[in-house]
Amino acid sequence: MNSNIFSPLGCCDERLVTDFVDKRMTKKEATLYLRKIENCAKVKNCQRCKKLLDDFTILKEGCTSMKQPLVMPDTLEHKLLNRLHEALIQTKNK
Amino acid sequence: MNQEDIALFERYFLEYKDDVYRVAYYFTRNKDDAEDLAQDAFMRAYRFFYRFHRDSNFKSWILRIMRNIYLTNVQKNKSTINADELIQSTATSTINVESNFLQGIQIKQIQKAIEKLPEDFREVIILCDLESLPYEQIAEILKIPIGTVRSRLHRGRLLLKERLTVHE
Repeated sequence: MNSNIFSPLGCCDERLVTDFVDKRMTKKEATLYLRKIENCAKVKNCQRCKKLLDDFTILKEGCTSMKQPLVMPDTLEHKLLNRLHEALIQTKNK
Repeated sequence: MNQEDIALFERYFLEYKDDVYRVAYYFTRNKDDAEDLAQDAFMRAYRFFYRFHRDSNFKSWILRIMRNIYLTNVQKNKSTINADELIQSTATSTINVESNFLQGIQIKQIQKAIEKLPEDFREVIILCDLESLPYEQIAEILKIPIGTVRSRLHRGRLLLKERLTVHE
């Protein structure tokens, strides 16, 4: 995200919101963006973007906390390795 | 496949088997279907391994294969959707937030809301927010431009927010 493209975009633009929430902005860009939001709130009394950022950030944290420590069951791992070896033997026999 | 390819495939298998299984579980929402899906994905990947470009990302490649299999299965049989097992297997922890919209919302409610998202939005949320994959990799897996990944994420989150706000 290049800071010089901030100006034509509204502060609630999805490109800015998602890049901020997903931490795709540099520190400098994020600071500039937050300043833009603050300014928008002061000048236009717009709270929408700030709320959107807060809610999406919380939502993302909620989703991330759902990530489960799932590992492939041993039985499946062995079964798959066996199937792969069988496939290899078949290939060799062709 | 030569010995070098076999060794490489086995290395990839051991490195990514848990990631593939976990994403299969998020997609299918139950362990039996996840096992079948992960198994099918690895077998197909093995069969077509000669097509895999060695300088590409294997994880993206196999997740794309798996996603295609999953979508084909969904089209064949739409009755496989079962969110209950996923919900039961997750702790019913509550997010501690100050925001009105998610205050007191339990993880399982977010899960339920994700389950009900249209597939296009659900898969980007799973890959980005649950699997923490970068946009570039998601774009590669779903074969869509990065701008579309961003747009689907935004719209998916808006939908989630809207649906979860009902619980205020």
